[in-house]
Amino acid sequence: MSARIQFFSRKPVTKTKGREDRRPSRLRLAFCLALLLALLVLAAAGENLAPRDPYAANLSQALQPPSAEYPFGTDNLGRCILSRILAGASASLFSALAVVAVVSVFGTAVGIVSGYLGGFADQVLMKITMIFQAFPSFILAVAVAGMLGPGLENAVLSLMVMYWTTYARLARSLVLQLKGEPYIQAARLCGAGRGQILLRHILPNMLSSMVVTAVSDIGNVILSMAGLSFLGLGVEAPMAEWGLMISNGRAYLQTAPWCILFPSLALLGAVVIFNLAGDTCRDRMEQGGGR
Amino acid sequence: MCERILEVENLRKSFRKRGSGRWGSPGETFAAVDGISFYIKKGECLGLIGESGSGKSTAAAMVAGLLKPDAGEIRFYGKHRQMVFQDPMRSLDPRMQVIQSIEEGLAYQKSGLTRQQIRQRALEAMDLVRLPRSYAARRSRELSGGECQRATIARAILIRPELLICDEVTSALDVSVQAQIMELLDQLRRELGLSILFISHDIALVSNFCSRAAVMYRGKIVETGDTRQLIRHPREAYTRRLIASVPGGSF
Repeated sequence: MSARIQFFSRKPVTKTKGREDRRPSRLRLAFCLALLLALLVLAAAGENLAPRDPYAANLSQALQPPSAEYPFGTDNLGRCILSRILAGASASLFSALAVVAVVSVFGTAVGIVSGYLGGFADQVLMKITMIFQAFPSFILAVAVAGMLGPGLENAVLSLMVMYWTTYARLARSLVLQLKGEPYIQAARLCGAGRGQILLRHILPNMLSSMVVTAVSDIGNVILSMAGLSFLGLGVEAPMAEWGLMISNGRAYLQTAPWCILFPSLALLGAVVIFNLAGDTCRDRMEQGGGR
Repeated sequence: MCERILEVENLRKSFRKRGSGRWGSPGETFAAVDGISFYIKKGECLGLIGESGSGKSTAAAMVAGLLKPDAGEIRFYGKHRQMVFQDPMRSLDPRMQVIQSIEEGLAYQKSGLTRQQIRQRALEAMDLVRLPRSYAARRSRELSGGECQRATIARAILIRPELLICDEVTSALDVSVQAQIMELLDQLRRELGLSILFISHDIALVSNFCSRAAVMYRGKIVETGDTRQLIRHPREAYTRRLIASVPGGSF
């Protein structure tokens, strides 16, 4: 066993554990955590950090280029873009986190019930999931948001409708795969009930995949949220939100590109950080988890 | 020594063929196990030999109680039966410590034992299968295949079963480890008075280890008897072919 691993690994195995540790380094982990933490602190404290009132319109200062006074320039109503980005961070990030949190728990629950009970319950739940998946997902979100009307809560709800199916299907397939593992059979032979097998074996073994998927999904949800706001289906007008700011800046792309540039950069940065966190999380969990 | 621990009569199990039987039609079935009967005496090791797909594992799962037979009867004259599986690495939960996996052998039973007592029993079982106690806190991926198999055997014997079903337990191990595991099973059989249903495709292994053997082919038992008799004077053409296929040619 250890000889085989030595053969495949790039450097010789030194640890007694007998397998090479290819998990992300501590440095990368710390870097990721620091970025994530910074982003979350920024989002939580955004409005207080803003140098100016993000909602104070000053038409005489409209569409000013970046300067010492307005580091990111001003928009068409003369509002400070930096302040609006900071104030908008919480709407963009925390709503995405809320969506992922609810959706991953709910979807996983549906998937577990479906996969573990099988039979009729499985058929019904999977048909419902398929109905949701039959629509292009963003169109579905747009349709739901359109029906519910604009507003942050409605946007969050429509994104939940859009995202839960992934988790249900993933959880179901994981449960089905785990159900056939010999160690589950062995536990059954030892007299473990369904609930005990679920709690002791299935949940712990599927957790890492679900967490990785959830963390990797946050970036997508942020983008979808911004997309809804961009289409006017997310937050309502005066509120600071990145997608909405990009949408407003569209008209001034030629004359005042900073209106669209800085909110886009903020969005890009947030998505990159969450994706990086997702990747690191995946590398760490997959190496640490299964064989 | 003639007392029987297990009697199996006319056991049947069919599966639906893959891709058939959708839309409410009954679909085509094939009989994985097609009416087999055998018995195991107390303290005896019965070998069940056959090629892949002959229904050995299905039979094992039914005897263990993991699968419900379609028809037939399994009469088990003991309290507990346990099973050891083919793939030792996958027989232990990768997230659990080895000792936790072994403790599972008693953890779900109403044994009246405290957790410490179960832990103590598990450690003793580790001694019995000659797995160093220092391995207790390791996970399955830090063990070799043979060590994993020792741990699964420890889990299986924790409850002191009368019957142990070994489904291709050595197939995933290399030859030297195979011999050690076989030796261990033989020793446990003698010391604990275990009866063993030993399932294998390896007729040479069975001939060394089991006093009696049954040959399975396409869901049916084609020949049963004393292992030596079986090998020296096989009555069925299939048994002869099975013997002829052993590398090296003779015993």
